[in-house]
Amino acid sequence: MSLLTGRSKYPGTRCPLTLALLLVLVVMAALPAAAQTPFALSNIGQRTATDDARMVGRGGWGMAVTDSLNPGFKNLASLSSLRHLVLKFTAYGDRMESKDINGERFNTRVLAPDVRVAGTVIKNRLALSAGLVVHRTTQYNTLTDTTWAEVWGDSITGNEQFHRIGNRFRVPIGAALKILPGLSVSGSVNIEAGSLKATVTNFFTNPSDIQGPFYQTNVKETYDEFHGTSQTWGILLDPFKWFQVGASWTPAHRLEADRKVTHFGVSGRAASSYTMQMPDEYMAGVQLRPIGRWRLGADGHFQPFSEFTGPEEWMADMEDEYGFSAGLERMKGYARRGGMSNLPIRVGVSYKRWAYGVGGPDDKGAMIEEKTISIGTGFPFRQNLGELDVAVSYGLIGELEKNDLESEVWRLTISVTGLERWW
Amino acid sequence: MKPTTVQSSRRSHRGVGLALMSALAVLLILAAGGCTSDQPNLVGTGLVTDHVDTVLFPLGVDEVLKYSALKVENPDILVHEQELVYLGEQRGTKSSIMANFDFSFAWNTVPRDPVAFPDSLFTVENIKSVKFSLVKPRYYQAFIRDPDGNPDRDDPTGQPVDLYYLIKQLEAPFEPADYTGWGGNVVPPVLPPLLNTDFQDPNQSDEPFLRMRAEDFVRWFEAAEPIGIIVQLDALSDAGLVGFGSRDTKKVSEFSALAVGTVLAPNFVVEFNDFVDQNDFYLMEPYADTSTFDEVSVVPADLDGGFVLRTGLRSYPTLLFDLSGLPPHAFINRALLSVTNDTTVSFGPLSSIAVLEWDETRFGDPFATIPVNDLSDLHDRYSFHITGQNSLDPGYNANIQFDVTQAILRIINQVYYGTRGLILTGGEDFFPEGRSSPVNPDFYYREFRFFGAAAADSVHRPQLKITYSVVEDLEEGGQ
Repeated sequence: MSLLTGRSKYPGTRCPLTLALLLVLVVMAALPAAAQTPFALSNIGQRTATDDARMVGRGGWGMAVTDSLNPGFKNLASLSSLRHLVLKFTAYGDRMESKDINGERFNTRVLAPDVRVAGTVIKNRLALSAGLVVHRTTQYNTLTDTTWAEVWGDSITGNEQFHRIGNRFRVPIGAALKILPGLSVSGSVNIEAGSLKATVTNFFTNPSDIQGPFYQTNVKETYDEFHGTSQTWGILLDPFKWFQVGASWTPAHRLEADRKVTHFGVSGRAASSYTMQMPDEYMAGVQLRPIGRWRLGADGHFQPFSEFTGPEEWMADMEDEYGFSAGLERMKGYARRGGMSNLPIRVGVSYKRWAYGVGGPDDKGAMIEEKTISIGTGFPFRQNLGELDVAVSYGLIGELEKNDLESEVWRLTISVTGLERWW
Repeated sequence: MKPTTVQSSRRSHRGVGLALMSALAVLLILAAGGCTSDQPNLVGTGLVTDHVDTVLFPLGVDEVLKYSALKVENPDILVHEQELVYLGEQRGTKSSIMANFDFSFAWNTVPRDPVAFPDSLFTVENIKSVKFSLVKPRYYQAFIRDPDGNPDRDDPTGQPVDLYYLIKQLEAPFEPADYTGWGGNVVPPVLPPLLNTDFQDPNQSDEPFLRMRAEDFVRWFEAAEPIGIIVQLDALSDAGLVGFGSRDTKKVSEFSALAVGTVLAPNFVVEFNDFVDQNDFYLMEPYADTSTFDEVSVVPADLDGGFVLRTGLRSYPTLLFDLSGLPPHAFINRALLSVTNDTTVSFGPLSSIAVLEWDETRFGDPFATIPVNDLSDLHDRYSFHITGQNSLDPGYNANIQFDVTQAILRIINQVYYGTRGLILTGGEDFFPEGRSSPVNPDFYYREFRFFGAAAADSVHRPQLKITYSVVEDLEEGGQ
């Protein structure tokens, strides 16, 4: 096979090369990642949109998807209909404008939150899957010009920077089985891991001389490392051609966290550990095929974080997290010389309430709401061996009046799905 | 449709698809990667609750647990091998210059070479004058020189101006081995007659030529034996310790421009009426010379009485401060070693001062003696160079502060086995300060006299001015 053209004498082998090229480009694009919204500065961090671009385009619903040519991984039970080896890679770029009483800030970020692979063991009956899912992230920094007390006759000024960065990810290893026509179930074991690093830095920029500031910089770092396991059980009912319904349940589970607090330049450190009891997570969705290529769908999600136990400062602000999404999709067409009319079209809306509150008059913090509208489309690969899906969404997170903070988010999501008959 | 046409159509679609995907990937890169975020600002600070608990807390440490004044000797440059010889008295240090001359020079061949040294040469009749010559380095010159190189009498340097030189003969040439160090040096027996005839004339010259009698020189010549000469200052002289070139002087850049052939060491300059060749002078160099340093200033044994950093005859102070006032796991944002030099009593040319960590076990008793190479701890086992300053004027720079932040951090972090204090040294060659100094601490005698722990004004006491920050969590769970 030519490395330059990807051309092969064997049909169907160009797709992986193209896919690899795209993956490299997207990963390269992810390098200059900057920051997300300031809401990520507190608590367990922002729930990441792990849905693929196809789901994002239609608002986020995908629990009841049964498309074997563009499978979704939101509900692993849907993978039972697979006929190919499938690889799916999702990445997105955010442009965020955040406001609070102190002003505005514009941020961009690129994240690749979801990489999945699945293969059939028994075609259209039993499939195995694995992947990497970054489901919560924190990435934001602040800077405050500061004047400290006068010391030894020096008036010391500078700034205090706070940087919080981290993620929680899981590695789901699962299986999907069609136990009856129209009834599939799935189960996965999720290896849960992640870290969270909060860094406070005092830069004492004045007084200074040619050799630099007189006073050495303070850097306090708090580093939490998470580990644990969870399970997710899923079910997909496909009783009629026009109606599917799916659901999943991730039982409550424990996450262990090891915390290290260091003050750079000081040999001593503090090491401690704590346990987080993550609440049950319920997800459910429905898909309707009213007519022709059109699909309607809706998903719901609920996780009672009011039952969360963990760091006290987090528990105090916890609320039940839930969300809804609904959308419409015109499936891709196959009409010869159909042109644009063959392209899929997706539109949708979603609403999420975050797991914790921020701002407001109460100590608990005001509820954070996230509202999003989105559109999307897709471009099938040759011989239907995969698809490139694209979605653009616009969301509002929080309200200035209620949360003392709000963010506008423009997001471009791209997913690459590759199928291969590898046997 | 012919098969060839089908293939062509497929290729066309593949090309379009690939181009489309590539365009989208580029779009993603441009849309996401190409955008830069605003710099962090105040937005979001309302959610920040994490801070360093104690920031920039000042702590003055002036309690010194241990002090010593190390006597540092250079075995490679003994006192009689120093590049300057010293004359006079200042702040308790007193020295004369001694030089040994060998008058058997004309008798090195037997019989004497009648061509080089004819019988008529060294006679009272043939000797026009005999002078004893000394040369001051630039620092000890009495007057600053004008652009033509001549001393400007209206612009004194602050060094002694009027010097009354007294030259006498030692009963016997001095023994260089008796002048290797200091402390206990004595002036050997001296014959009473004064040898110079101008002892009553104040001499302001940078290059004094002291008048002597031809008879004395002829007598020594005829005896053909070594003699010792001692140069002292009369009490009428301006007070001060003045350095002159010696037979070991190598750093001629410390001297002003001199006439060709000038001998820097103490020497006889004999002028003849009738010389054997075209040179009318005979310059006689000593085969040994030294400063006597028969009295050396006292370095306080107790820090309350102050402490001294001395070069020439090195005495370097060590200080071990009590750091128990620092909380555990404190981060040192800044630590300054503050010492105050008493400019009214300190003297000597500009100097470098280096500060080193110094292991407590090497403090020794108050006046322990160490070789200078002990300061160069190549493996950092007991000392570590921290910082230093150049061009410090003993007579001008009062409060001197050294940034010892990193050292205090290392000490309180227990980076080393044992306990470390600080030592102040001159700009030795093996320190950065020494590499930027024209001469090493053997060259000039100087004293920095610092106020001690009992100074009336507490700001003059040696002190560590520490500014620290603390993260409380470390105090509670530190390990």
